[in-house]
Amino acid sequence: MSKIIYSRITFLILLLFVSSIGAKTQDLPIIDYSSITHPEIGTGGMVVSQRKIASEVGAQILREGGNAVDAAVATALALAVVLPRAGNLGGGGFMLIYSEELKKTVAIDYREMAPLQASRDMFLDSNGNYDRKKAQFSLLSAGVPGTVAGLHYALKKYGTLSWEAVIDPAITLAENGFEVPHDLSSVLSNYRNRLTANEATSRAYYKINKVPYRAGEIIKLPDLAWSLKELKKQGPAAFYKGKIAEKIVAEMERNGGLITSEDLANYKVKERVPVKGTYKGYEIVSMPPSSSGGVHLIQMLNMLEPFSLKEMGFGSAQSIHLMSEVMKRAYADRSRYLGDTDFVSVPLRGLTNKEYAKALLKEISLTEVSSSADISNGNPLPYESPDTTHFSVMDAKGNVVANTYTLNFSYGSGIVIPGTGILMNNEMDDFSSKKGVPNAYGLVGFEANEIQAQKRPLSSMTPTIVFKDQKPYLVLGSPGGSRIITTVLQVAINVLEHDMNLKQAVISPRIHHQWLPDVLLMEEGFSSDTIALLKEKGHTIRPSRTMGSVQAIISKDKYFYGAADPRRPEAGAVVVSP
Amino acid sequence: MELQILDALRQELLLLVLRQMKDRYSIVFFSLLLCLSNNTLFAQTTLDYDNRIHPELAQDYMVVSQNHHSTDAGYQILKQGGNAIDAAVAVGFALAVTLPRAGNIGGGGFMLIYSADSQEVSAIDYRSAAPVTATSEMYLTESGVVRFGHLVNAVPGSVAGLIKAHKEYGKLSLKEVLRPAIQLARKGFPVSYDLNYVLDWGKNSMLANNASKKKFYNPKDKPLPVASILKQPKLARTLNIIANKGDQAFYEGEIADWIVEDSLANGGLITKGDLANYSAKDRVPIESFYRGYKIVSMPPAASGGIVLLQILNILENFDLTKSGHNSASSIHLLSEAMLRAYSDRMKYHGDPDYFNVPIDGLLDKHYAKERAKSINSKVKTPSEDIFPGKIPFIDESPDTTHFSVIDSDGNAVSNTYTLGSSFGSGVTVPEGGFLLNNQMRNFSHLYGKSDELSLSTSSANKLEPGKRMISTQTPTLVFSPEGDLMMILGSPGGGRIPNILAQVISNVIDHKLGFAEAVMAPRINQRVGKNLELESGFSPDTIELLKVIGHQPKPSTTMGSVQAIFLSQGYIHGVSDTRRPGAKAKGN
Repeated sequence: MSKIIYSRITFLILLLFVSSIGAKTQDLPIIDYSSITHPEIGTGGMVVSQRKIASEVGAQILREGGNAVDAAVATALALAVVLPRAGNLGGGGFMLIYSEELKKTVAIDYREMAPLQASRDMFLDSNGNYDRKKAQFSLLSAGVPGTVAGLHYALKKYGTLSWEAVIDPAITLAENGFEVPHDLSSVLSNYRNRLTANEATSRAYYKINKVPYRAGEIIKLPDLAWSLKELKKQGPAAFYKGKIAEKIVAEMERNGGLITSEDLANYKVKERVPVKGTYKGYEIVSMPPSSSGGVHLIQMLNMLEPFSLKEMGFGSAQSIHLMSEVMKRAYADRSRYLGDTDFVSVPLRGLTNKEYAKALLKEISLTEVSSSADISNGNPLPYESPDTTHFSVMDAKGNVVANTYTLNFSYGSGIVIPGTGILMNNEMDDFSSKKGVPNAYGLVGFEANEIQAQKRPLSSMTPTIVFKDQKPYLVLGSPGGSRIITTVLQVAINVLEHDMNLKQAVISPRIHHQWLPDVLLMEEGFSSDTIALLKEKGHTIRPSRTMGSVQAIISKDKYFYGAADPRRPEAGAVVVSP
Repeated sequence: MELQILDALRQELLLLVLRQMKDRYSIVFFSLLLCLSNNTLFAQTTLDYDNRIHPELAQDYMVVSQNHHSTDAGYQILKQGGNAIDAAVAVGFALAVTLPRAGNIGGGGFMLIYSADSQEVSAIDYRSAAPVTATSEMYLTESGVVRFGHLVNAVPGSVAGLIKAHKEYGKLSLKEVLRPAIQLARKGFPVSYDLNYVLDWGKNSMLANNASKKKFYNPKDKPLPVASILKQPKLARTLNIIANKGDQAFYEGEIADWIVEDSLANGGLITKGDLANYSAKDRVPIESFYRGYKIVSMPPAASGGIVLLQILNILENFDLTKSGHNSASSIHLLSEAMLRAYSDRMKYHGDPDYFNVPIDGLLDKHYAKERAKSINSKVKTPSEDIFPGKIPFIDESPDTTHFSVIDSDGNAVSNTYTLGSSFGSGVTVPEGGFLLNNQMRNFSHLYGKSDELSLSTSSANKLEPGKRMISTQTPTLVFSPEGDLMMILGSPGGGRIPNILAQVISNVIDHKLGFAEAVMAPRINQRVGKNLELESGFSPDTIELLKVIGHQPKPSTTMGSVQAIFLSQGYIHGVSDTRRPGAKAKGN
């Protein structure tokens, strides 16, 4: 054989040898010393939530043989105890479940419903002006809570354990109490005036004389424990028809609320068809209305797909400019089109269509910023509180749960139903209360999201599952009000496009643009060089407090990688086994 | 969100009021009033939602180390009523059990101790030292300096240093303080992903030694599996002997016998005389002021302290705040300062018992100003202009470890110690159950063999009997302009250590980053004669601008692992650096 052929063969053999070594090391979960932070690594499944103590509850359920849905419901109930500002029984939310057995994803909508007596102008005062106190801090602000119904529905249809088994850990936490972390003590201090104004709330969450608990002290929640025990005995009927219902209705009657026993009995969980899209080979599955999150997440990914954000580089002015322009257009559409699909028609197909995305891209320049005023003549969004919470669960069998739920504001309306320990949501403020008139944050409403009896207020919650080769790969979601969608977008892009490890993807600083106000918000951590370049392009930049709190999981080979977002302290990823 | 409105409202109010003020005194009065109202409004808010990452908060005491088991050990000691030194010694011995690659009793290091009573800082130098029969010829081979095995073992200082600290400053008994480490060695702990990974990564030196091979690997040379329990009975016995008999057992008694026996049988140089003659030394810490903050660090033979102070002295001549955090212009200034500080290191740093290090001259502010003048903000200085000639390097491994402790009285310990490379020389003393360092590599073995000026040929650091080799370990304390202890920090990272600390300190003082953000922010490194190195996370825009200035930035694996404590507004903020998995801050 000639020398050339010999050397070629040798080369090929070497190549094979080297690549086979490479293949072997890919089996190991690599501790990656080029990243500053690292995800939790484990096998057997993973739970990530905003309170490590609640993640531990979920992980224990998985260890005992429960599936992802069992663990999710247990975690949600535990969060109602240990994360009172967002974990809840008196609010509502959305749960996305991938069932390995059924090989499909289901979307459970347990968003609150407006009471029967609710009306379009109910938050306007006698002069026709928006009354903030009514809309946010009175009993009128409460929508009919969906959490208990939603969790029970999910468990019965997709779980394997009994309701009693998954509610027990929450009961123990409420009865025996738990250690108050700095975070909780801080927030209770800050909100003391608002929260102690209500007697039941003051009694539940403060010591005698309205003194806030200090970090390290044990807080017990006996009334909440009672409610949980009633729920254990009677199931959701305790909440919607039984003793808890009685107390809710009594409080409503006493203090001018609208929720009646009929409202509670009428509450319905809705199973929806998830919205789906694709991004560079990955399948994106997310929440449809009454959440706007999934639609616009997919719309934005569609618009970003033709570009290579990876080449532009994370944190570069170029990539930030592009994302900002894309966000503007998505949010303009959101304000115009989105609402509860049981009441309004939403062009879901159109909005998530790749051709539509291409059409929108034609108006985007890579070198200059476009003015929001030029984009649409629609009206912007009602403000949504950043205090919601998301958790993610994956089990060893291949099931996945992404759950975001909330009271709306931190602690909702701040009103605890006496005797139950349950805080009521103030979700009604998520409707657009008056066309053309700003609410708390200068945001104005539009028809699709007007108040109507039994309607669900529009949400931005975006629990999401990303599939790779038809298997669940990434699960994530976030609180953050209107910033949820852009937060989830950026973490997804960080993983799918920038190849960051999951923790790095979650920790990296974030931006946000929601079309109106026409301002680009940026967390700290971006380079001042980049900010200077963005200003040159014409962006109006404002530094922002941290946005969102993404609790995410990746499943790869037999390993689970979990990332809890450090933006909210005490968040934690717990592995089932090492 | 509500807080943001309050912020905005308060700003409005302030402006309104100030506009009315004509009188200077009322301005002062009202500003004070506003500041006070600021404090009372936010008295309970110690968590800052502007930051993505938050420190661990405490009010009484705190331990931060690279390994959570060891942090827990220190925390327990503090909870029991031990002081900062008790906890530090507990952590020092615990890390020898739980972080075998860097935690040690077979290596050496440096400790700074702050006494709240006297408000004084003392420094203990327990750097390992050369056996008297060692000569540089022994270490030079065709393929470079000997890497592992018995020959590179220097006389270990850790036990002497830790015991000395305990004797002079501790409150609890030695037995109590060693108990957590002994428990961990006896009962064992689960092998983490990181330990498994590092054992595989560092296996060359380990597999070459029978005792290490048997302890850490299976017959197929695979490291201990993840989640398996690692028990270390021999190490437990050794620690127990020290608990009962003190450091005498290590330097003169049975442990010394074990070391020497193994050493002499295997081509090592350590004799009983070497061990008996070793002692940990008191040193006078060096200090300098940076924009009013007092920086206190380790003097030679630790040479990192001088480098750190020199870097800060040079930077002080520039307005870094204006340049912005991690902008191209700030990075350029850092890089230029680092170059100049390092070039001095090559010439002047050595064991002060053998070489007169011109500390005062090196730390002189005028000298720094001169150096600063030679910096051009728009163009990178070529290395040759700073330091002529080729620059072969001494290998200073990134695997060292630092921990920080503070107790409820305000006493503090800042400690960095090491085996040299990960797992040191790879040699486990068979009867003792502990690893030995490879610090003999860190002398300037090329001294006299070459005319080139470099760290390898430095006369200051040439090998001499009983001498300590230089180190970049830089345990540091920073005091506020009012004189209060504000930062306890240090890091592994070999030659990068002072550079890393300069950045963390500047992040806090110049850029006012939150404490956790200051530690987590991406870092740069500039070595003489090499490209600028950047961790991941810098903006591509910044990198482009650096290229325009003349830098050729190269991506780097992560640098250092700063386990630090910050004190502010009556709270203790512990920050564990996630660059090394398993690090933990814990306090009360």
